[in-house]
Amino acid sequence: AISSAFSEVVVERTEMSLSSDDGYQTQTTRVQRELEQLIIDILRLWRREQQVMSLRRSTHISYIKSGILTLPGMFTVLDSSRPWLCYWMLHSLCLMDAFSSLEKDTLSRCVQFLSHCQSSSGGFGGGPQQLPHLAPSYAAVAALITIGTQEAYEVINRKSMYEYLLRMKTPAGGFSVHNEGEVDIRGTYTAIATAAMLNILTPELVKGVPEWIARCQRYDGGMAGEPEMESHGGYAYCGLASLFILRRTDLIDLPLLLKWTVNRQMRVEGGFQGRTNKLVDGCYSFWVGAIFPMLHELLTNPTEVAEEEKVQCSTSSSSSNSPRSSSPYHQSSWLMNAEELQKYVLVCCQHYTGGLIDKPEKYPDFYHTCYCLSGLSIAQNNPFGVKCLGSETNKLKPTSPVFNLEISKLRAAEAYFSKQPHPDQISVP
Amino acid sequence: RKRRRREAQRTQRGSLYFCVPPSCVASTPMTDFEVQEDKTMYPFSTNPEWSDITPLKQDDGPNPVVSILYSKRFSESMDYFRAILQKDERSPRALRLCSEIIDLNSANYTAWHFRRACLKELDSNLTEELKYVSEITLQTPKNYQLWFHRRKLVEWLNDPSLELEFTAKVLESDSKNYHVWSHRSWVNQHFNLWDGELAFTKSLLEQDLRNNSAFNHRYTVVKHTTGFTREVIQSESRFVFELITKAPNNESAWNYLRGLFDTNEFSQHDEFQRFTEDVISGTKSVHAYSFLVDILMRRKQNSDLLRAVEICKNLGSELDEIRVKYWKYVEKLIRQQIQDE
Repeated sequence: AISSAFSEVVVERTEMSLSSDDGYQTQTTRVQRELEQLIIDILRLWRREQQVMSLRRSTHISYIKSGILTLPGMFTVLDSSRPWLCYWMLHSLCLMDAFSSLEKDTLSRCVQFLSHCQSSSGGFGGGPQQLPHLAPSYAAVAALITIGTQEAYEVINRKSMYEYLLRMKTPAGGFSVHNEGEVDIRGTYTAIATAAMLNILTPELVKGVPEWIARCQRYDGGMAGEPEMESHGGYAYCGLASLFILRRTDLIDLPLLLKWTVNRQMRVEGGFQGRTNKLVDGCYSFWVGAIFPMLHELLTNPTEVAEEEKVQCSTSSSSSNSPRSSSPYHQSSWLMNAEELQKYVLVCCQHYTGGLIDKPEKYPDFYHTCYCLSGLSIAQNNPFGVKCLGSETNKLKPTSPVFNLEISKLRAAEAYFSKQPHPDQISVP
Repeated sequence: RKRRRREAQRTQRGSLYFCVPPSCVASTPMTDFEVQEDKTMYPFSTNPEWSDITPLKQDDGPNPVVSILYSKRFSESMDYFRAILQKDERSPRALRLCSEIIDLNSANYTAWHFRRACLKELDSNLTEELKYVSEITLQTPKNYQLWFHRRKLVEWLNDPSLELEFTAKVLESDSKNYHVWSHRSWVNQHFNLWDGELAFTKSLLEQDLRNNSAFNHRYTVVKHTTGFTREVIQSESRFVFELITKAPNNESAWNYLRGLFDTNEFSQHDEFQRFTEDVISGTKSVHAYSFLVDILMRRKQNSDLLRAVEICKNLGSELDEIRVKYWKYVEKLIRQQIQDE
């Protein structure tokens, strides 16, 4: 019954008209309307052929498996992002519950490889013998946690990682992504999320960070890569997730961020754009989509978030049901249109050869595969009851909006790392 | 060169499974872009200049994953680069080696970092270096490392004289390139160089009044120059009113208008409201209605709040259906406000 109701919603949308250009064309409306026409044609075709909205799981699994051991020469451009490749692939497989389709020793090989990316001075680089960098540090830790074995956890040198993170801190409150590297909000998120996952957050590490992040909120409510820059979905995610971890979302205007975020959803396409007046992209299904569960948590419980909720955004209904305050925000789902988002990913973002994509007519890559699936997971796994467009068999495992780790993997890591010795300071409550 | 281009095309066609990595993470074209044949030091193994160096192989471990099938040239170049890194040799040949590595993979941040170390050590001509970066930028304008490198050079040179023209040029091919705006904004702030910036944003908005990056930059310019005084808010809102009149469904313009409204301590609500009501009488602009809700919510009278509720209902059920959940939430907020009053 649920599936057919959703299908009706989709069918209606095939009769949609293009967004208005107010009779005043510019480059922005030209490219937008061109894309909308393409999407409408795809939906019309889909409807005519009575296609089922199914996640073609096996094709995506094959796509990932074909790349996990070796990749062709054109991947040289990602030679400084190999931990990312591991994370994108492993996380995608994990969400699809497909680890069992890997060869027995693959996970162990991933662990060993990632250990070769770790720098003796702390942190992980984009490959062996590369300078440690905050982005592959996050990716390596996330990949190891996704593998989730004792062997994987033990690879990480928490002490040197902590020292490395401290060295990346700048006086103004931002983080350099590598020694004498650029300072932007990705650096902040990757540093804070990594520290949180490993239980090495300290007041010393965190000092000045929330205030720097708050400077990145813009007049339209979104957040930028650095102060004064344009609001952007990826950076808004980094900013909010960091503040969420640090319990300092009080420093930004949440209602204004909410307004900006809901306006990122595209009328015709159903997916999210990254910036106002730009095109939809499947990866924002996660970057923008994941903002909603966090906002939901913050607006439902505007007072101090409880300890156990620090690292969770649970699928169980228990925490969300209890009215903790007199907040008028008492919603039974995220404030995004989850059905439309699922439609965009399932109908427009699956490539016929396997793998997921930015938008129709683009080619698949492991990054978009990861973030389209992660966004789909967020949209499906509503705390008040799972709602899968198309069929229940499309259901992916739930992922944490804060860390983008599969929930049980995150819990296991939390259980493990919380028992590990903490840097010699009081932990942030 | 023709042979390499053909090779690259073959890779493209045969690679439906794998494709260009997203600009979100690393942006270089699929092809190795060509280093002039006479300038490359490859093959290193037979190059007398490098005979003293023992190449250092990549240590992926015995059974790696995500192994990339590098070209021979890439492997060898990286072997020599690793050797030089280990020695920490900041020499002219090391600098040239960095160029080769960057040519092969412009996202290799280790190479960029080491390059800067070499430049400092050798007290190199940074103006020449700026030329080098500019050339690469025009080929791959969406690369983080390259723009950060540029920022450092400009900082060391303490000379922004080329920057406004250069960024304007790159914006000609992509008027919304985030890195470019970021660099320009940094130059403005770092050197307190704001002359002509307002006019610059105006010219971009004349080309495309939906360019959100231009609006964002304009906000920054005003903030750092005149500030949002009563007069400035008046002139800026007139400017935006004109753009909205041309295209009432332009979210960028409405966001900017709301930005002005929010900085406004002078309570010029009336003018903003009058304009918005005017727009609504002519077009059912979602953003106009949305802004009107914001204005009405600032007021305390029940009649205004009730009207806001009606607008939310209309938006949720008809004009902005995709955001129905949001509009229901806002409606609830307003009702709460009415109850509280």
